[in-house]
Amino acid sequence: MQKNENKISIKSSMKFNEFEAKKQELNCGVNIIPVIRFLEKNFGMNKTINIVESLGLPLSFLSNKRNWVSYSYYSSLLDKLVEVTEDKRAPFKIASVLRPESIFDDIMYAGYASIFFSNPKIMYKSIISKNIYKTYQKIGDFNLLNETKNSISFEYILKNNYKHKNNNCIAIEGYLSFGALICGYPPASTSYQITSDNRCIFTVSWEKKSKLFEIVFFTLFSIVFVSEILLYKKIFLLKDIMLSTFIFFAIYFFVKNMQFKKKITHEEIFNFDRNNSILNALSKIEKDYNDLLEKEIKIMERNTYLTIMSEARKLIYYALYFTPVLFNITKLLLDNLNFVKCVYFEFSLKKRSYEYLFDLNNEKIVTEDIKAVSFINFIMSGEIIEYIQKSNNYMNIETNDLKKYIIDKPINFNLDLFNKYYANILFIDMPSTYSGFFLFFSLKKSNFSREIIKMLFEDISDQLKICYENISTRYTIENILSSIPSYVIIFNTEDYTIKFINNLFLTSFPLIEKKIDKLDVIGKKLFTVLHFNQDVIDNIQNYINEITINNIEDLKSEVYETMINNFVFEYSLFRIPRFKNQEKLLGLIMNDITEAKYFQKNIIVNEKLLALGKVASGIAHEINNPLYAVLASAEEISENESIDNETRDYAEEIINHVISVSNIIKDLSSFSKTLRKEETYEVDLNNVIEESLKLVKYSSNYLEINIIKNLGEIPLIKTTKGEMQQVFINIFNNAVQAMNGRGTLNVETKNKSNRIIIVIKDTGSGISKENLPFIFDLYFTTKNLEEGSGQGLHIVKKIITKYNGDIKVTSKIGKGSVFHITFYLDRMGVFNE
Amino acid sequence: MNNLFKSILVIDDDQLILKSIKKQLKDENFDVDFIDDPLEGMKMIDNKKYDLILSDIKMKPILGIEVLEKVKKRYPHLPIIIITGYVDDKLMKKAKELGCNDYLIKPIRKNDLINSLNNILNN
Repeated sequence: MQKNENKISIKSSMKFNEFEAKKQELNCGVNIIPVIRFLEKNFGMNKTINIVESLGLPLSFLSNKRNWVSYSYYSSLLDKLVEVTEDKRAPFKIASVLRPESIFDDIMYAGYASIFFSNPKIMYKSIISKNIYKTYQKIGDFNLLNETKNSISFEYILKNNYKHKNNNCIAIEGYLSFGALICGYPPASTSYQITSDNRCIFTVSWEKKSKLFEIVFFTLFSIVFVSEILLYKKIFLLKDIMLSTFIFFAIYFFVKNMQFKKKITHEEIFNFDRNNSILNALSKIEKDYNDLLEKEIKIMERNTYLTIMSEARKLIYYALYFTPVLFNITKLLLDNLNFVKCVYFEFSLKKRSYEYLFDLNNEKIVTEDIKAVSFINFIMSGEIIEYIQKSNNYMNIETNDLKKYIIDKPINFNLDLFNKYYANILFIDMPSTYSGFFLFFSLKKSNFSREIIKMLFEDISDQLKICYENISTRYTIENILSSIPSYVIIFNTEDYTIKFINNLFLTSFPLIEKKIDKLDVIGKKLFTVLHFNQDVIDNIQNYINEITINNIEDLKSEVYETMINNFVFEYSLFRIPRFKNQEKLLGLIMNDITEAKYFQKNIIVNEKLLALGKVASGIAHEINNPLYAVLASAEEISENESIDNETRDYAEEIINHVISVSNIIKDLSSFSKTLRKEETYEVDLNNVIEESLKLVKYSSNYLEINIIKNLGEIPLIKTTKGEMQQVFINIFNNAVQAMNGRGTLNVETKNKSNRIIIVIKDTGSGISKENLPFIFDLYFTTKNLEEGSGQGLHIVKKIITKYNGDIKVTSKIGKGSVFHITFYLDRMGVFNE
Repeated sequence: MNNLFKSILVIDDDQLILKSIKKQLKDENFDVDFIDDPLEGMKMIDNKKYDLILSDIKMKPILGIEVLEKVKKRYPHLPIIIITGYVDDKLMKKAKELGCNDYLIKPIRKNDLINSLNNILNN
């Protein structure tokens, strides 16, 4: 029914004709003006005019509190109000603006009401009394039904077929509720019930007020009453009640204050729903914001985590040694996580405890007190392992708790200094291989979330373990490769960049400059460092093809042989277990077999010579005997006085030839004998030089050589005659060949400050600058194959270096060569007779 | 000269050598005995007091170095000169150690032989 009426009232929101609207039914002052004020407060003046005047009456008419409007106009105004505010309780709220405009009126109104109606019941009763309500409405009557000490209920009966409307009743309810405020009460609780078309029952109940209040109000009333009698001799003479006005004024402020508070409370109650929803909305926004903030922090932390991990992975990936990695990881964590200081302890197997390895300060935030702390003498007990292992390699503990794990520390050290700090422990423990931990100190207030640190630490711990394994694996491999008595080169199969060479390669690979640094070779291309023949390059590429394209897993390399410059190498290839993920590596292992080849040949040559030597000494014996007979006979002839001079000359000639033949045989047999293995004994080099010169004379291309000997006094040296003979015969032979059999050979020996210096000068063709560095290399020769094998000077060099001597050559093309041989007496045995 | 009284024993298994030495020493006033068997030579040393022994080093059935060793054991003051066909430093070293007074390399010049003998006999 109410709904129907609502619909009708909305439909009736149309322009009233002036007569209908201005019926003398409801007073504007009490009924319309509060509505206008309420609208004005909520929508502003302009909009209010639009809303109100859309119903037909001008605002100027309605603002006059002496004017009257019809009940139906009032009803449609309330309908309009509900419509524009979209609030069904809006009519109730009208009463909240029900305040007289002038302060004075306000004071009067409030003051009198407070005094007269100190109990709201009186006020309510006065409102429904016929004399009062007639002054603002003429559409119905009030009929008191029931009253208690703090509640009252009455019936509102409409006359002349007016019907009760919901909004109207709600508006009255509002007036009743707010009426309690006038008496200094909180808003009363009200309810209404429309019992029939023209009847509605209203019930009002208010809070009980303490008696003190009643007494105070009663006293005040009495004072006013009495003072008016005494001062003006009249009661309620309004023009002369200044005194009471002042008292009211004072009371008003008191009451007003109270009311204001009440009003606020009331408005809070009244706005509770809306506030609630706003609060809900706000709290939701706040929650969302917090979530967002949390998410942002999480994202930030996640970012930090990722940055650190990617940096850490890089550090670990490129690590060659373990301690520098630890060091760099420490720096990284100090910079990114706002730790103050970090100390690293490593497990010492000897002491069965953790020992200080290094510490680092975060230069940005390190504080003076912690900067002063040195951990150098700290030793931690091994028990800390168990403590930390329980918590999955990460632990955040009070530094005070650390005290019990410290075995040894500087005497004057005060651990209480750490009361301000937490220790975050990052543990790297690999059973039976390695164990150590970081102690990161952070301020207790540090705002970095534990979870992220924990996660980070655990991940870094895992990474470091892998790193350690990698490094030690690589170490093992490198150690193995380094200890192989062969040249090892590891290179990338794609671009042939050299990645590893072993020490032997560096120190003694014959085709590499001495004193070269490892880093000079690593990173270069294999084929620029080693100038292989095409066959080697082909073999390597074939091998790579086999393992990469044809994917043969267990391909075994053959052993190949090649020659680079004057060196003979045997080599084979081997696959490398990948210790860096992306690279495919291949190992090349080489052996210098030049010497072996040489000795293989040399043994044959030696055997031949030895055989020759045996024969020669046998021959010497066999020939010498008949020669002796010839000699003895020839001597006898030459001494025979009866023969003529011519015959004597012949005899002499025979003698000379016999001597000469016997000398040749003597030299030959003594030379071949020296090829046998000899023990070292004192040798006179001058003697050896003399004998060697004699032998050189028998060489096929010896024509006319002027030998100038300048042999000084030199000490005997401990060597073998055979080896020394080989040295000089080879040098002299070379000289003879260089001079094409004609020229001057200058041999000089001298003893100079504990050195024997031998200088051999020839006037031969000389050696070119390009060839000079190679003349001692095996198989290096500029001669025809018939003339020389390229072994001679190599043997010379080998023998001289065997006795810690030096041999140097200077040469000029066309002018000849000079060999300087030096033996150092303090480096070899000397015989002083 | 006083060489007249000096007696020398030459031991060599090669008759050719003995003959050559005999030729070279025939004008000298030595009392020289020649023997081509070293074992026989050893007996002769026991029977006669020689002033000097001249011995080849490569002989049969025993080597000159053995002769040297045995003679020097029994007659440490008896000078011994070794005759050899070629220079073997090791052998020479050993001979020197055993007390050999000199060595001569075949073929020996007459003067060298006589100088060497005189040198030792006169000292």
